[in-house]
Amino acid sequence: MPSSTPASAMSDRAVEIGQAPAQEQVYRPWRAIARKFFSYKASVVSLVILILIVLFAFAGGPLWKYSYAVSTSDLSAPPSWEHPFGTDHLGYDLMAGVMRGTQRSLSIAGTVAVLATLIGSIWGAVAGYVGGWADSLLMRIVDLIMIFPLLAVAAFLARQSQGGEHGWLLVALVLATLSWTVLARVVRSVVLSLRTREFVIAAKIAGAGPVRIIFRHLLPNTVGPIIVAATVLVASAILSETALSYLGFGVQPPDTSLGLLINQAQGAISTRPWLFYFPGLFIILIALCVAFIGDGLRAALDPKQQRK
Amino acid sequence: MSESVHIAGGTGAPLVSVSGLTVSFDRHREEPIEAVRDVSWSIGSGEVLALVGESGSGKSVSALAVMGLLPRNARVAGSIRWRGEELLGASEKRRRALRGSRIGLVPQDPMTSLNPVYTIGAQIREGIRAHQKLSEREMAERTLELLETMGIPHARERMNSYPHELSGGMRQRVVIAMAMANNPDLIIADEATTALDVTVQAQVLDALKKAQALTGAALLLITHDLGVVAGRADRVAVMQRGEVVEQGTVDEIFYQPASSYTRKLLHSIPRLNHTPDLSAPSDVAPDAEVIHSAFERKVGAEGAPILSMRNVGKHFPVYSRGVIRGRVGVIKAVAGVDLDVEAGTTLGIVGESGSGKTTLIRSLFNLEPITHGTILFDGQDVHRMPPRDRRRMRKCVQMVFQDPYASLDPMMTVRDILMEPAVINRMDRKLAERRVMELLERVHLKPEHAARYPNEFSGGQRQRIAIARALMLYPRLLVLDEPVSSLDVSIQAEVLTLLKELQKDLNLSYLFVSHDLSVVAEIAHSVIVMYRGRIVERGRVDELFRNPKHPYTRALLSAVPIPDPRTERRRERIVFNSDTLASPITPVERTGMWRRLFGGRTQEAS
Amino acid sequence: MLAYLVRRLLVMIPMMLIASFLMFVVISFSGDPLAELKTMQPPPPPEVLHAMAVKLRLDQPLLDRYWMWLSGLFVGDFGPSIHNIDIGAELVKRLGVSLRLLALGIVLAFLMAVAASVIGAVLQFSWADHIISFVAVAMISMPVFWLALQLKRLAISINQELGFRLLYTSGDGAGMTASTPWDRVLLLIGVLALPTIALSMQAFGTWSRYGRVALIDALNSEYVKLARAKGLSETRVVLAHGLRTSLAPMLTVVAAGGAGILGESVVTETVFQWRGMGDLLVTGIQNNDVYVVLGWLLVAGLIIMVFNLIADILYAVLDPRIRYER
Repeated sequence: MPSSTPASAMSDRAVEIGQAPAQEQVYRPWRAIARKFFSYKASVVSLVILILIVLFAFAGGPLWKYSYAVSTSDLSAPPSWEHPFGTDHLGYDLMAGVMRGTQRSLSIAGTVAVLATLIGSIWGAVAGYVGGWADSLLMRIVDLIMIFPLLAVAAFLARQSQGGEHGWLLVALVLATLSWTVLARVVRSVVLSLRTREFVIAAKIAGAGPVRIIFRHLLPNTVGPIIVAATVLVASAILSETALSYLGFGVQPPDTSLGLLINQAQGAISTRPWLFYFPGLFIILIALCVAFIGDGLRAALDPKQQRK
Repeated sequence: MSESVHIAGGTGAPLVSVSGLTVSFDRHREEPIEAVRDVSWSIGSGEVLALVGESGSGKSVSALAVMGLLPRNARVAGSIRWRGEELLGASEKRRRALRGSRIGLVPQDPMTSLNPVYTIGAQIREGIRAHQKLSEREMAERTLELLETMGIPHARERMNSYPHELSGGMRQRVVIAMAMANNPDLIIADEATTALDVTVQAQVLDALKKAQALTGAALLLITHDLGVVAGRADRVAVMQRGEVVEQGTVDEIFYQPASSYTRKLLHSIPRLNHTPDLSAPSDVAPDAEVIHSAFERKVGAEGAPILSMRNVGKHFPVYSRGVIRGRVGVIKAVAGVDLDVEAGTTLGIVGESGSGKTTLIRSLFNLEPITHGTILFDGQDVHRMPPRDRRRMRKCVQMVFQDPYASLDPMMTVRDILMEPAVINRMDRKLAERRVMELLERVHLKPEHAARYPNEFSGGQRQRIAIARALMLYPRLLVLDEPVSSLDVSIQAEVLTLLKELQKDLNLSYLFVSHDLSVVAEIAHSVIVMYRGRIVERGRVDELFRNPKHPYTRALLSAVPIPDPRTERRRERIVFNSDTLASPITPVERTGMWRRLFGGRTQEAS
Repeated sequence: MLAYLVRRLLVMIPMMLIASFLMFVVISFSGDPLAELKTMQPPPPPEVLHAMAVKLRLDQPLLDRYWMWLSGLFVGDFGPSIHNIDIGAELVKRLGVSLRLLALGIVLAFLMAVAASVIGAVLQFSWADHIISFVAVAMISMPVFWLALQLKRLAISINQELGFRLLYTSGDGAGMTASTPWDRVLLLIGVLALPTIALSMQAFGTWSRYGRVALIDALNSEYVKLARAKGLSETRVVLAHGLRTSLAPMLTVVAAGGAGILGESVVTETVFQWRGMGDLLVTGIQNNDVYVVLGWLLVAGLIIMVFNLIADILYAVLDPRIRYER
């Protein structure tokens, strides 16, 4: 049997997944969406700021002369060139602390968003597509998880195994297991409206199985709502993490996070307000940027506006 | 009763005159888009003017401008005069005083036009209250009177119903009652019957006529359907791409069309070539057995039919509304259907919404398992086939859907869409690639279209892509579910021609489902008429349309608008009283106290 | 309608049973309540540890422990506490304090969200719309505790300006008395104002954004077009047709936010040092007092379910289509 060479098999695969040889002046949904997104000023500015914050948090730590874990001799110094964000009463440099804290908060939010989006999307798509008792069972589980306030359960679970090198990862895992339910509901409702659409029936008539229909037809057409819901998830994960850390159940010293920094600064609101402002500013900035990026994506991905 | 004035401007100023109207819409970060350009028309008191055009012709825009209901991003230039008074630039208060009081609107979709959270009575009263000082009792009486005029049964109880509790035709009559509530001088019907079945459309058009007669109002009829216009309009204005291409009396437009566009439009309309003879009353009882017109089995080639259905039925359960929901009955969506499709021919299935035609054809693909009966494909029982044969059959039977916007996955390129059946059924990739190109050519598209996404194509082009997809696996039978009903008439004609061409070249058999009798008459060889899940009549197309026997078929045929003013004016409608047929809900016998305790009321079938 | 209500109530019972079991299992497996006691220096004598384990029923199998807890609930026994708290009585006391805050916060957030939605939708793309939208996003992005701490700072300077304590920055008002009715009102406002505002802001942000979109959708609908065509006044069109129909979808968002607000109230109460449900939970978790946490979660779950039930009933009242379908 004349078998095809690996190279041609590769190109066949490329054709199958829609990356046909590039042709110019051809409409591509993704390019049109990107163009639309970049026409929203607030979203683009937010994207730039967010990228800068990510760089600041992840590249800033190694470059900055002070470490978040080593105290200096400047005690309770207000912001200056030496310490742009000031220092606390033990002489820790706040900018180093904010860098570290932002890094932790972003890592947690990112992990939560990725995990929860994956679990929630597949869960919701399966429930919506399969329907019947399987749908009821899957969604009752979602209901059950949603009955309990995320913050309270997360606080208890995080408290049980706190501290350590990978403490932040644990916080992320706990938040992810409790917050994917939102995604599941969003995806299910979209899938419910899609599954009776004629292109899905056409695929079924051609003989497509459930796996192909879910991953090839339903999920790609749910990408818009999924991305938008994921941005909401990032913002709410940042806020949940900081709230947990603020209550003392999240990231534990000697590690730090933005919420923990505010917790530690509470007593000094009137004497050393900078300790309180800078971490707060970063939380708000991150959440705000994510929200505006989400708005831009929502508008760019809105199917109502995609039709010509 | 007012006299109708047929010549606009005969006595003083016309009721409404629109001149040089240009409307454009501002868009976010894009050039404004022009909807209508330099449009002029006028309408006299009591006159019926039809604005006719296909989608995108801008036919509704000038009417909305008259009402002052254009969206905020609209820019309007030109002149709109109401009995000589300039309305553009008039105060919002003045415009509001005209709206609902002097001008009534009947919009397209009665489903979305009524507010779902208020009763219909409240919604009618609200319109009266805005313009007249009446006591609550007088208003209730007026509302009742309006609903009764519009032929709403049990009007007194119906006043307290919510819109979702009424059928589509009833809702539209409620909207007409609303439009005539303050005795307007002008009623604007904006595609008022487009979403309705033919028989319901006929009833609603009659209701409009009645409303016009009672109020003496002029009627502005906005439609894409020249058939609707023929028997009803005094004058017609034909619109294309935002401009009026031709205006004249209805006879001028239909018998001496001046513009090439009007001629093309008239030419594209599928017609019933044989005017049915409905003069003699039917001697067939409505619940009689299926009527076989002659020669049914003799069409087409000899040999066994490619598809046969015997006694096919599909039931849906009906649940009670008690604390514990129990099954109290079944709806027989399809109740014992027999049909045969001969190889190389087209069988048309005609029926209105709720007739079970969609359920019937979906049963073919096992999307919803049938309750009883047998389906034979090529003489083999579809449900008892070994899996290998079933896969083979799947390749042989393919489907084309109604809405070309919904039937193509927007996230896939045309190539991927066409390749999908091949990939699933493990067709050789090189052969499949070649087949894609070959089929694109067959349906008159270009090879470079393969790399594009569906939303770059027009409705007609999309439908051709959908047809190409259905042909990928060399099928022998195509199931066409209302394949042209969402297309404009000129596009409709192109797609029908393509389908006929393909059938001849590839020796295909078609199962063609449509609510539109004229389309079926154009393409089918034989036809079955379905009503409430049953076949009421079957026969060869020319035979059945020339000499319909069953009262329902006769009512259906008499309701089809004919694009010929002289014929239309002479026609009489046959009304089919559906109460003579049994309800499709059959109660399930339930014993013991379960039923007595929790049975509850049976849901209405809709 | 009545049948629907009964059915919903009947569904709540198994739901709550399964939820409580799930919670019990998760909490039992997530850690050893005596872990800290065991690592104490010097280590406590084994008899003490054993007595503690017996008290907390750790010597029993899991299912038995669950059964004991569950059957205890029906006679008001919420289980043993490490610190000998009467969990049931404590929950009742704290609930009274917290429900005041929760109810007020939700009502305030909803009213503000409705007002903001109307302004935003009617004046779409105006400067007022842009400002409200920005404030809404800012409120969503702001951690509750940060906002609460800011409010506290602000209140301190307001009090200094006024020369007397109008706004209380800590405490839930327990133990404080006022002589005249006027003083009593003032005290109530002073105690509730800051926490209520802090709690309601995030919900306000979320709901107003959603409400604006829902109202814009409604105002672009065909039935609003027909309402305008009937010659109704713009006020009536917006309120009776637009807002009235968009209330139902808004309600689903409010219902979905219930659990979130409950969580935020924990943070808010902590900032303002209320001795409410929040404090009970936080100290319960700190002390690893599992039955306190279990009791708290049970009550919280019940509150959320009742909240959802009310939302569903209101939905059915607001949208007649639901009334008949179910």
